[in-house]
Amino acid sequence: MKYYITTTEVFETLNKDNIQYAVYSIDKSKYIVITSDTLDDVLFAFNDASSLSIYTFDNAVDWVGDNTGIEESEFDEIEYIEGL
Amino acid sequence: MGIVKVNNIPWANISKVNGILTADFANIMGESVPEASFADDYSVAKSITTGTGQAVRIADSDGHFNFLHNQAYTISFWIKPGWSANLNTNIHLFSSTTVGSTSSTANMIRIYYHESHNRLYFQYKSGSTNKTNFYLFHSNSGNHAAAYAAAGLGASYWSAANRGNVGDNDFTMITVAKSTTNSAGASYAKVYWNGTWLGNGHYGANGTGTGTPILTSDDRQIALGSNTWTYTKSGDSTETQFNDLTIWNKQLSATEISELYNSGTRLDATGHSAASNLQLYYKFENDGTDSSGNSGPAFTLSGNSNFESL
Repeated sequence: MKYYITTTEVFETLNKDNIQYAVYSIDKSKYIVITSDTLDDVLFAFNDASSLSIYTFDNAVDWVGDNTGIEESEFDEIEYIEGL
Repeated sequence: MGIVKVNNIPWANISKVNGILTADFANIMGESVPEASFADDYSVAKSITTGTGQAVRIADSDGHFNFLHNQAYTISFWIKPGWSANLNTNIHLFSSTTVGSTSSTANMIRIYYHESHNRLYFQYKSGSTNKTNFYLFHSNSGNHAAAYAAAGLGASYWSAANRGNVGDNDFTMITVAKSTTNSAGASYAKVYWNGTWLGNGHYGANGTGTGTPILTSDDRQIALGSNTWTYTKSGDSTETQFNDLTIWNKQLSATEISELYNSGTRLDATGHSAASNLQLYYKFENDGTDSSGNSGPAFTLSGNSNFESL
């Protein structure tokens, strides 16, 4: 799996079948995406789930409303389902 | 007419007569005796600030709560959401793990709501293994239709601004009733909104998961309104309130859960038809003690968490 942050516009173009996890930012302008695809047009790319999780804790104001972050386990457990 | 006063003392203020509990009187000299009153004047408001210093929790040390993967149990509580539509993460409603552990996988049992996806999860874990199901509230089709109808949230997500179908004081009763089967699937772990079953959930009758969790009989710490490993995930905006937590050592039936819901009015669970299976019972009437009769441990409220008048 590969770990990215994309704009919402880019996210809409992705192959949803290959996405494991996705969540939009609080302002809905960008997405955290974990996918098996390799993406080029991204805002950030991370080496692994741990790095991505740490990023969300460091930038909580953009991603979660409780000033925490996204735990690594959530990437596995909150399954992305297109349209839901 | 029933007894109103004894020696000018209102009957409601008398707990014993000549050493006999008033609750044990069927009648006195042919006079009917008023039923024991049930107060529902307070709830618990969980601080949105996190950490053990802000928690609503118990740390059991004598086996009152240590359910295994292959045991039947029911967990039920009333909740009044305080989180906003910008929470964009999860809030833990009920969480338990091994006493003293800071691991999320130590005999973990949890009920949590993931706001950014509008899903209510029931899950238990042991190490790298888990059993899971979730219920989605904004899709009126397929496996999700039952939850859509039961919650009454419509197309908007669950929050303080959209509480859906509620009982008294805008509280919703959430119940998980698990069977002896080692599964979170809807055939074995039934989840209810008020008295209404949420149906099969996303992962259906058999649920999903990884491996075969084997929970041990270690005593557990329990928290309302946060997880039990970092005591975070408590919501945002305003405090979420909890009321009347009951834990039963059997899988309550749909009829028994409907009886507990009581058309939206909280009742004295010691008078429930399954009261002999009541393991722990917290009324939160301005104190955190157990009313089950089993002398269970008390909840402690720390920091800005507090009992709040309804």
